[in-house]
Amino acid sequence: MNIDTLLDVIGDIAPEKVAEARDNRPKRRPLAPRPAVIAALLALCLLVSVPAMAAADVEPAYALVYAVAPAVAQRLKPVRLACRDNGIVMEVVAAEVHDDEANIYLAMRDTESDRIDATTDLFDSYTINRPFDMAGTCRNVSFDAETGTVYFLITLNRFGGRAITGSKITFSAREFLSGKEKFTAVLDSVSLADAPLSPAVQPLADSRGGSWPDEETAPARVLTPQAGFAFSPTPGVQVTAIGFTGGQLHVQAHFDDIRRTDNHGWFWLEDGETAIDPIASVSFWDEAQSGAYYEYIFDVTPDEAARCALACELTTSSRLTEGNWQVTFKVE
Amino acid sequence: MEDGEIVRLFLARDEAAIAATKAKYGAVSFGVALNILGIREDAEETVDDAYLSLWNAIPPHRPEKLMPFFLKLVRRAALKRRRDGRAKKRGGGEYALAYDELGDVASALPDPQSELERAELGAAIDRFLDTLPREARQLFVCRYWYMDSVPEISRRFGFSESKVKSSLMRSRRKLAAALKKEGYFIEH
Repeated sequence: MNIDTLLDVIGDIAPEKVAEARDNRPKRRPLAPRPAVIAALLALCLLVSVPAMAAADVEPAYALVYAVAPAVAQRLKPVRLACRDNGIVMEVVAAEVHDDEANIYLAMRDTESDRIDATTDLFDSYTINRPFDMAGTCRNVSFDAETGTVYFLITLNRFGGRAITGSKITFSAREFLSGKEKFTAVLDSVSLADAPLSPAVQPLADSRGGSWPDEETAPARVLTPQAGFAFSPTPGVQVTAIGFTGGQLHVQAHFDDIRRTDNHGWFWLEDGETAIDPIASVSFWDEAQSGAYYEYIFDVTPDEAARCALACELTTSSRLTEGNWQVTFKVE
Repeated sequence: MEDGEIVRLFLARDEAAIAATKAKYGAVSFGVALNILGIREDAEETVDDAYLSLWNAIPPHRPEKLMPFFLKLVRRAALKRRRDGRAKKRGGGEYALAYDELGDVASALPDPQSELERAELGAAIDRFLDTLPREARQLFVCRYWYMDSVPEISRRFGFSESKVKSSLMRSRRKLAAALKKEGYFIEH
């Protein structure tokens, strides 16, 4: 079947399911700094030396004001405040306020090279300082390849239903990722039929957490990375060990430099007809505390594993750009 | 304004119905169109066209819930615009990613030979969605109906991106298994 046809058929699902998918509020942890912290943050914002932008240096995405959202265009007000650091311009382009919700459009572009692309991700490095309790989100909504500009939409919801209008907001970011790539493949070069039945194992240390069905099945021992085994399906990720321990198949992978790349992914088994998910996973730091091991645990016998192939979906990033970007503006 | 009041405006052929729809569902409808088309101008034009389609659809239709009814018009129009090549440029974006993700499921299904077969397939998918836990169903619909990005779904539900991706992958596999069980798969 043509994928377009499948998408069309999915479009005909019951309206209750369409409504249900939007039946939730953003679950971002509420940000509620104490009054003393609020005052300190506002003072810090005023003291931080942010390279100021001369009017001539700013190339605001002003047309965006009238193109982003027709339903809010009449309430969208230009802000056009910007800063520059490390050759990156960040501009608060426009804002729209409706009672206790504000939508703020942010643009970033590189004036020196091509560090910004469609995959640009603020890597949770941003902060939104404001004098009220709220829930906020920030997401990449568009990339204009012609100008090399990425647009983010920041949505703020003030608790208690009180209006946001008149409040001063400071948006700050200190780094972003770009050059992100997704890699999905069946790893034919990894033979699960040859998975050792008595691999070297070690106690779980420097745990970063994981998931398992219940406390009784929480992993206590993990594989020792196998010298000479490491196979890299894509730059930044290696499969470092496989083997059976505790009657279960363990597949271990290493993700490089996760503090600076957000490299992450998932592994599963393919037996030709179905996919077999891990029943548990666990993660622990490497020796340098910069990369992380992930161990995926499958409830299969050696014979079952021999009939399977190892598959993965991995996301890697090739570039982290750091800077000090901060804009304070009043929500009108 | 409640949906029922807006529908009554449509039935009374009062143009205030369009303004009321815009005020209530303009942002979410633009989001759906933008997810599919990737270009603001195209999304804006599509939503504007959808208001006219909505005006022509009510009456005779009298939807109980206006949002899914209207969004279905927007989604359909955006997909048609993209496929007809009328989009200003073929933005990649979430449509392309969601499209690729469904490739394995679609490739094993026969093309519906009639509207009846298509309706039956749609009903089968609907039945399948009923079997999913609520959260998994919401993620599936957000991804393949609304074409939301994984990061957006992640933030909306407070889940990690890995959790969202693995849930979607499991749901796709379960969908394939469910359709196979109902006899929809091509046997090779």
